[in-house]
Order: sequence, then structure tokens, then C-alpha cells
Amino acid sequence: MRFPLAAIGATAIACALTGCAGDRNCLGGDCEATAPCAGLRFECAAPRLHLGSVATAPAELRLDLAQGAAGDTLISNGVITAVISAIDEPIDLAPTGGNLIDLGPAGGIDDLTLLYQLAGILPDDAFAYDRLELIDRSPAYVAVIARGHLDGRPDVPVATRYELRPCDPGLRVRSELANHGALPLTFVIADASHWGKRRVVPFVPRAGQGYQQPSLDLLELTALWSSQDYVAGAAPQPAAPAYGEVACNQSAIHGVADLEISAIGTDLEVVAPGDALVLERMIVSAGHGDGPAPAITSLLAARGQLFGEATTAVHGQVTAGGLPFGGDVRRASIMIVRGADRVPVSAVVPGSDGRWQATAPAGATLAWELWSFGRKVAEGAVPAGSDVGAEVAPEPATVELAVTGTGGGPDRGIHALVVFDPADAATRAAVTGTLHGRLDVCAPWLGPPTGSSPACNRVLVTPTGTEVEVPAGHYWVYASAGPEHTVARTEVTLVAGEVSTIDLAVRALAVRSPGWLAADLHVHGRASFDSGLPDRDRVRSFVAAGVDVIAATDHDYVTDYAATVAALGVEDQVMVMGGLETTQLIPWMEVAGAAVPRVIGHFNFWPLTPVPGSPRGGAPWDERVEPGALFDRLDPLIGADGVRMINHPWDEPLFGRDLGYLRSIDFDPRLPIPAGPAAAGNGVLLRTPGSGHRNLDWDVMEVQNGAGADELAKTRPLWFALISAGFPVPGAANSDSHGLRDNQLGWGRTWVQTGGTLAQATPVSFDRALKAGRVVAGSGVFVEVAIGLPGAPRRGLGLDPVVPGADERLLITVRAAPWIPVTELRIVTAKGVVRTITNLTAPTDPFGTDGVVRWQGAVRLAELIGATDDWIVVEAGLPLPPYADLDGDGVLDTGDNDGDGWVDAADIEPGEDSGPITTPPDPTDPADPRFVMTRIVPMSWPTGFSSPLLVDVDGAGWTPPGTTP
Amino acid sequence: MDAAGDDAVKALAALALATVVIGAGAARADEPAGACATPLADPVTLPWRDTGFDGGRSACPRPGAGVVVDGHALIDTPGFYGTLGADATISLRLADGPLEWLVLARVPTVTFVQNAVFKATDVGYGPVALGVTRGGDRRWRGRALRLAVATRLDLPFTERRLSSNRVGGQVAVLATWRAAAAWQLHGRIALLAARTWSELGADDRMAGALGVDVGRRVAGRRLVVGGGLDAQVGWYGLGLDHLALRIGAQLRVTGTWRASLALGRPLVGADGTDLGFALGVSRDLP
Repeated sequence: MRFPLAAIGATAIACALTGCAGDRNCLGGDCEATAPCAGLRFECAAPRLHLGSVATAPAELRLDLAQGAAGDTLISNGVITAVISAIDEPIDLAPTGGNLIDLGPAGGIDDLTLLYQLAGILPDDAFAYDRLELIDRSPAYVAVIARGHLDGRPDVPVATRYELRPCDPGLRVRSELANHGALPLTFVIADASHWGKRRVVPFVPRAGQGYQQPSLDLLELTALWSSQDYVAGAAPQPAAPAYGEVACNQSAIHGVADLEISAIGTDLEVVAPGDALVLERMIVSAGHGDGPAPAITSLLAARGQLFGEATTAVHGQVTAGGLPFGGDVRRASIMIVRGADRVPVSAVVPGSDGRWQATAPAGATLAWELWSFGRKVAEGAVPAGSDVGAEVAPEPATVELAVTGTGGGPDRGIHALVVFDPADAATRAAVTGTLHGRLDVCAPWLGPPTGSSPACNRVLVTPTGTEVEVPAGHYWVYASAGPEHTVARTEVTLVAGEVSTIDLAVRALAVRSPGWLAADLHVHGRASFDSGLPDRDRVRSFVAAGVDVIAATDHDYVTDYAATVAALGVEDQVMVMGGLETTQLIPWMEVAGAAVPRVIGHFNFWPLTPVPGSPRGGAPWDERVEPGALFDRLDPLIGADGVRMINHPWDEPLFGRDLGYLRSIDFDPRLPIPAGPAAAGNGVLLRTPGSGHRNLDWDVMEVQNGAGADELAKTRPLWFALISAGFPVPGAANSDSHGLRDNQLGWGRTWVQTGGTLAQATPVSFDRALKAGRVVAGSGVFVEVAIGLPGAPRRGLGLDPVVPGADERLLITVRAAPWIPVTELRIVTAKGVVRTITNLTAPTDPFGTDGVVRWQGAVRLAELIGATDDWIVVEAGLPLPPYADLDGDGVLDTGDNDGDGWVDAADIEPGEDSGPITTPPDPTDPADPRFVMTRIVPMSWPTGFSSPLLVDVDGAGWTPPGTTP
Repeated sequence: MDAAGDDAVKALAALALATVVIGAGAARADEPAGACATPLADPVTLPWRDTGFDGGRSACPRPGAGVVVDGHALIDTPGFYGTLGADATISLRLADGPLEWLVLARVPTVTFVQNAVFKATDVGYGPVALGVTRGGDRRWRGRALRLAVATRLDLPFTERRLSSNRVGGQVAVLATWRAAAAWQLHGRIALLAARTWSELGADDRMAGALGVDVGRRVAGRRLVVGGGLDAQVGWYGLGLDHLALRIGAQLRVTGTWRASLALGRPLVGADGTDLGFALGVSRDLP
């Protein structure tokens, strides 16, 4: 018996000796032989190609609102433009450069934060490039090749080739990955796009989806990883481009699409040692405020060439009141659905002439839906021939809005915020809308809540007046210029097709004392990855909120709005300091007992000067460092008077990224800070990870983030614990506003006693006063505190310890606009709340001007302070809602979510051990004290608090009272 | 191709050549002698590599046909990683004079891998492997000893979702010694080599392995219990791949049918497998 071993052995030998492997690939070195999506051909009248640095790119090819730095690489074919980051310039979630950071129609707008490649969700599995190769084979193609390996797996080499050919509607991209490690791994190759919740809205052609994708749950990613023919998306904003991606070497494209982050690419694959994974795809961009349809048209054209799929072009015209109606997603948006299960396949915003066209896969019945002002108002089948004809939308009313400011000078038109609120149930039912079921529910839905004005049910009004279209109905219309003005209100019935004029007047109120400036030190605009608000509306919102000083704190990007402030001519109304919110996104920090690595949360720094042409506007790379090292890195940039602020110290992580530093290190406010640094526990705060600063060397703590009660309730025990431990800093309240509908700008706000007017203030004088602790803050309530004898000179707030004289008093004044309810005043020391006062004045007319001063009085210090040194914080507002610490970590975490009057296990969300903790819902009863306030600022709760007064009882220097368990 | 790749290629070539030479060099017939007199002559075997080509055996010929189901598990909690694998191997061992030929196939192979929250299962088949063993009887310290040289070559007939191919092989020197009436000792020195290649390149690996096993006959001639140690170096680069412990039992069920069970795990080394097992049924052939 003989087996043909000789032949088999010879085969094996030959195979081994010849390599067996193909080498026409990027990893093998011959990247030029691998043309991605080779089956695609596009033609155009004027073929063109460009490859070079962003700095040298022709103006007509550059993208507006882009983040590409001078040294990044720009490639364009005159149809689209793409920018690939320099190899040593990591951005956002990407650990290195070599990623797509800008993409859009050539000469148009960029709406892309980042598109980078990953193989898994762990930081180790991100593509980390270390070499970039530029190839100019004009007129055939231009390409950029990035090579490297997975960030934490050097035995998994990776390469990506970005290629652009003349006339291509998109970028051809090929990514390769090979597992030269020892173990089988489940990998994907996916393009992760960080949309940030408030900009591009993904569109997925699956039953029940379209704009509505399943919630992103990182623990359920395998189940959520779905297959579809293509994925597209667009920001629902004027001029916004559409994006889309289609696979070339596989019939479907897989992944998850979410408002926060999308990952699109291969299916989940077991990649055994020696295995390789390749993804070829085309990433397109097209359109100008038309919704995702232009990108989908390109994607379907590509699929037609690749897979022979037929398409059909559907078209029609929207009218209202007999006239063409379109040009804006607010007015009209068409959704095309396919088949009996009504799979959304495209969505398009008609042009200003009402005409629209969308491409859809052929072969099944198609239907259309017309949405107007957030509601589906008409639908029908697409007839043979694909000409839908005329679709009729209800005609809206037109409102001419004007708001004047009175008091303290001549009446004049002002920047203000106007809010529409349905006055009856029928109107509410008729005007409640969404963006095709996505984003916030609004009544009325005047526009996407994440974008420019009008957003949701609110409108920014300019001094010369603003015209807005509103669905017909019965409304209350409110005008606000912030918490230091009255609120104006009027009741109107708007009739379809008619023009109404609404003039509202607000009056400035003496809420703050002279010498104080109102500030919002945590503000985002479009430079942040998670904001879609144009700069113009962002600056108008500063002024409309009555804020004097702004710290522009975009995520990982330095901005200062200088050009917009100048263009609007509001330099005399607001001082904007350039700044930054450092936002670690790559988990790295090992915390004892934690299952997954963490990040350090967010910190604000200002003043900073934007550096045009630099990556991140001049912001330093902030990943994988502890706060102390971050402070070292920023100090030279912000200068000696600059400010370091810890933001929302106990916020819950967002998609696995910690937002608050104290939470991320499991700080326990019931325990003392040890004498020296430690690797775990509270002693981490004393570590000096860099060259000088400790991890707790921030200048200010953001004690209140936003206008609600929950953030304050969570954070104040942390602040108090650190003051008691001998680390007192001023407490700030800021909005952390990202748009017009989320957190409202100027709520909370931080008042700083500079001693002068805005015209006299400079960033240095403001920051010095802030760091000195001459600060009160809150959500609408101003709490002024001093020490002295009645009628005698007083010592005001500040972090310099005060030595109380005999019989000296704590002098308190509480002020708030009449529409902001204040019923309680609390005096807090290291021992807790030592005095609660409830006999505050209640204004009779929330729309009037009387009753601003809610309480003014004095309390003997001896009644508050014992024989040892202590500190005092004064708070005012409504009593804090009932919250409890149900997970036993020393921080409030759960509210009375079932409304039974108790905070207990029944209030906990299923599957969790605590929470949620939220501000009680907005009241619907007009008699509720919060009713008016929550019309202006949804989910708000009136609060005010002073910064700490440090009381040195014996004059021998202030001794921290120590942590109270 | 780098230097390591060259080495692997040379090793594979040598292995294939050895297979051919051994197969072509059939000479006189060696009758089974005392070292293999017991009908349960195999050590506990447990492959660690994915395709199983590294599995051990005794120096004794044992013609037969069988099916073995084996599996492995690796749970790396801090690394958010885990893999479970199982496969069925159908094998045929045929005596041919002094030679014993082996042909086997794995159908199917199932691998589950979790990398953080990404989970995937791959189901495929292959490889097909061929092998030949040639041995002779000796005496050592007055007791029967059988020495053999065995080769096994895994052919690139693997089908999975991803289109990579594998070829691998083992050449081993084997010894089985009848230490006492009821005791057998097995030794194995082996060289392993494998190449995996895809459209993006090749991955080459080599290792040296040393194994020692002991088996004791209990319950008359129907049951053997045993255990052994494997040491392997080189697969993951310089250093110890594993020092692994194996235990198991073989039972002659009835007539020519027998069953086997093996469990094992690496004690030290780079191999992080937590547990491996094999469960087999076979029938002796003339």
C-alpha cells in the first residue's frame, strides 16, 4: 500500500518555497497594485486631480468649516475634497494621524469630525498608523497610503489606501489587516465616524430604521452589528453635505449607525493567526442641504456598477398654499420607502422651488412620505414612471417677531430668545414633531433641535426683528433675555397663510449687584464634535442670554468666536475668551477594582488663543495623561492668570468614556484626603504625574452643570468634602450648552465680582477675581454674601480666610427675577446645613418687576460657627428634590423616579444598581411655580450658591475642619 | 520573506521530505514486541495548536479508525478575551509492513472568539493530514522498548469564512518503554512547523516539543490511566510556549472498540489556554 506522498510533499514544498501568498497588497508592499473598488468607473466633463498640503491647496477645492491643519494632506478631484491628518497629529478618538478628518463636496462644507479605522472597540484595536505615503499618478489617480499596526497589537499590521480618481463622487478606500499574533481574534475593519449626537444624523436602509437606529449599547454591539446595502447620513441643516458608504468587495456593509458614533465595515470575523481581512469601500459626499439623498444616489450608482442593481429616480414637487414649498428641512422633507415592510431607502429635502429627486433601488413598490414641521403630513405610492407629481403640505403661519429691552436706557430692539408653547391640547397634539422620528420631540417643531435657529420650539430674535414660520395653532409666546430680565408673554392664535406680528418687551432687573459680571464658562459651538450650532447663532445666544463673559470651551479645539463677534458688532455686549475643554476619549487609566480602563474626564482651560493652521486650533494632545500632567501641558498656554476648571466631576460616562474626574477615580467624599499621594483612592488627587502640578490643582470646580437640580445635588458634596479637606476652590455654574435646545446658554451662570463694568474688564481682571473666589453661581438665583456688622464695612467673598470680629454677622442678600421661584435659603458649613430659612418673599406677578429681592438679612456668625475653623457656603432656590445614594458610594445617585414620594429600590432603572438621578419633569400646570421658568429653560431648577467663606476663628491661620464621614 | 520565514520554509521542506523518505523506505517487517503488547498503548494526547497537528502519540503501531472530539477554552478576563474551540477528527491508521500510515480529517471545526464585546463563531472544516510512522523494537534496562520516527503533514485543505490557507507538520522521535508489567512510559521529541498564508502575506511558526507520559493498566487489561507533561518552545518566539499537564484514561469498551478521555492545561508559559479536552472512540483494525 502506498499513498502518493511524494506528490503531496512536493506540492507542499513548492507552495512553501514560492511563498503561497499573494503579494499584491499594501501590507506586502505593493500597494500600487491594489486599486480599491476597481470595478467602478465615473465620468465627468472636466477631470481634475490635486494632491498636496492643506496650506497649498487651491481655494476652490478647500472645505469650509474644516479642521485640516496646514500640514495635513488634501486630495481632491474637483468633485469631492478629503483631508487626511498628518501622521503625527492624532485627533479625537484616533490614536495617530493618517485618518480622514475632513470630507465634503469640493469647495463646500465639511461636516465630518473624524473617520478612522478600527478592528474592535478596545483602544488596542484602533488602527495606529506610523507611516504616510503620498502617491500622485495624475491624471490616473492620487492616493495616500497609511501603514501601521493596531494600537495595542504590534503583531497585527494594518494599512489603508485612500484613493481618488477623476470624477469619482467619493473616496476609494482599501484597508488591510493581518493577524500575525498567536491567538484567534474577533475583528472587523470598520470606519468609525464620531458624529457627536448633534450633527450628522445617520440614515440606514433597513426596515423600521431610516433615521431611527437602535440605541447604541456597547455591551450589545454584536447583536446590533447589522448588514445593509449602504449607510448614509446628513446634518439636517442648510448647506450641509450628505455622506455615505458602500462596500466594494462584499455585497453588504455591516456595522452600527448611531447619532453619537457609527462604525461601518466588515462583518464580525474570527481572524485566526495568519488570517487577513480586507475591506474596500467608497465613501461619498454630495449635496448642499438636501438631506442624505445626493449621497444615496452616488452609492446606488456604485452598487449598480458593482453588483448590477437597477435603480429608479423618483421626483416630484412640494407645494403649500398653491406655491412651491421647500428649501429647508423645516418646511419639507421627503422619505422614500420600499416594499411592503416600508424600508426607508432615501430622504431628500426639496429645493426652494419645491422640486425634489431621489434615487431608489428598483424592483419593488415605492412609496413617499412628506414631512413638514416635524410631522408626516402626506404620503402615497410612487406611480409608474416615478413622477410623484405635486405633494401638498399644510401652509404655516408667518410670524414677525420683535423683542425690545426697556429700563436702564431707551427702549431698543435686543437679541432675545422667543419660545412658542402650545396653549391648548389640540394645538399641542397637532404640532408635536420630530425629524422623521429622530432627535428631540418638540411642540411646535420649528426646526431640528440640534441646529440653527429656529431650533425645536425656540427662535433667536435679532434687534431688527426676525421672521419665522410656525404651524397654525393657539400658542403662548415667551420672550427672554436671560434670568436677569423679566419674561414677556403673549397669547396668539396663528392662522395658516397669514402673517402675524408679535412685539414683546422685557425689562432689565437688578438681580446682580454693581461690580459683578455674569459669565458662562463652559460653552460649545460648531468647533466641538458634538455641536451643530453655527457660530453666528452661538454668539447671538450669548447676547440673548444676557451674559457678559464667555469662555469658549470646545472639545479639544481652541476657538474664540472673534470674527463672529466682530461681524455681529456685539463686542460691547460680551467678552469672549478663547479656551478649550480637554476631552479624553481613549480609555487608558487603570483604576483599582475597575473592569475597564477609564479616562480622566473633562477640564476647561482659558484664555487660549486659536492658532490658525495648527491641528486642533492649537490645542495640545490631551489623551493618556493624568490631570496634573495635563495642567503642566496647558500652563504655558494659558499663562499665570489662566484658569483650570474641573468640569461636571461626577457625570456618568458617555459611551464608555468618563466625563468627570472625581467619578473616574472613584473619589469617596466620606473619606479624608491622605497626607501623601497614593496609587488608588483619594490619594490619587495628590499625585504629581508630570513636572509640577498635582491632579487636584484645578482653580475652579464646576459645581453646577446646566440648569437642573441633579448636577448640583451630585457635585456639592464633592466640593464640600474638598473644602473641608483643605482644598477650597470657587464653585462655578455653567451651561455646557451645545445648541439652542439642550442646555440653555447662561443657565447656570457664574457671577464674578470684578468691581467694574464689562467695558472695564479684561480676561486678566476677570480671571483673577474668579480665582480669588469672589464668585456666586447658580441657575437664576444670585446669592450675595459678606461678613461684617450691620452698617459697618463688610468683607465680601474670597478665598482669603476671614477672622470674625465679635458679634459679626453673615450678611446675605438673595435676588432673582420674579418668574424664578425661590423659597429656601440654606447655610452650609463643614457640619452640614446649619440653618434653613424659608420666609422668603414670593413675587405676586411672575411677569412683573417687583419682588426681585427675596431675602435680605443677617445671621450671627457665632450661631453658625463653633470654636474651630470652618467654612460657609450659602445656597438658595427651591428645596433640592429628594435624592438618595443607593449604591453606597457617598454621592447621590437616584431620584424619586416613580413619584411615590420615596427614593428607594423601586426607583432604580432595571439592570442597574442605582439611578437615574434627574431633575423632576417640567410641570404642566400653569400654577406651578416652575411653570414659566421651565418654558424658557426646560428641565430647570432654581438654584444659587456662593463660593466658600473660610472662617479663621482664632486668627492663627485657617485650619481645614476635615472631612465629615 | 524574513529570516524566520526562511527557517520555517526550510523546516517544512525538510518535514515533507522526511515524510516521503520514510514512506518510500519500507524495509523489513517488525513484529510488535513486548513494549506494545498491551492493547492500550497510547499516551494521553491533547493537541494545543488550532489544527491539532502537534498532537502526540506512542511509538507503537495501532491500526484503527476513530473519531475524537476535542476542544479548548481560554478566558482572559482582564484582557476581555475568550475563545472556545471544538472539532471532530476522523482518523484512519493502517499498518503496512514496518510502517503505519495515517490519514485524518477535521470535520467540522468550530471556533468561538470574544474580543471585548465583539463575538463571532467560525465553522469550517479541515485540514486533511497525512502521516507515516516507522519503528523498531529494542530493549532497555532489560525491558522492552520501541522506538519510532513519525511524521505528520497537514495539507492546505482548510475551508473557513476567511480565505487563508495553512500547511503544517511535525516530525517526532517516539519511544515507548514497558517499565513494568502494568506500566508504560512514553517519550516524544518533536519539531513543529507551520505556515499560514492569505492574500496579505504569510505567517510562519516553528517550535520544538518534548513530552513524557506514563500509563498504568488497571482493572485488568481494560483500562489504562495516565498522565504526562509537554514542554514546547519557539512557537510564540523565544521562550517557553507551555509546560502543560495532561491526564486521561483509555478504556477498552468491548472487543475492538475503545474510548479515551483526556484533560489538560498549560501550567506555565505563553500559552494561555485554560483547559483542553479530548474525547474519542475508535475501533482497532487488523
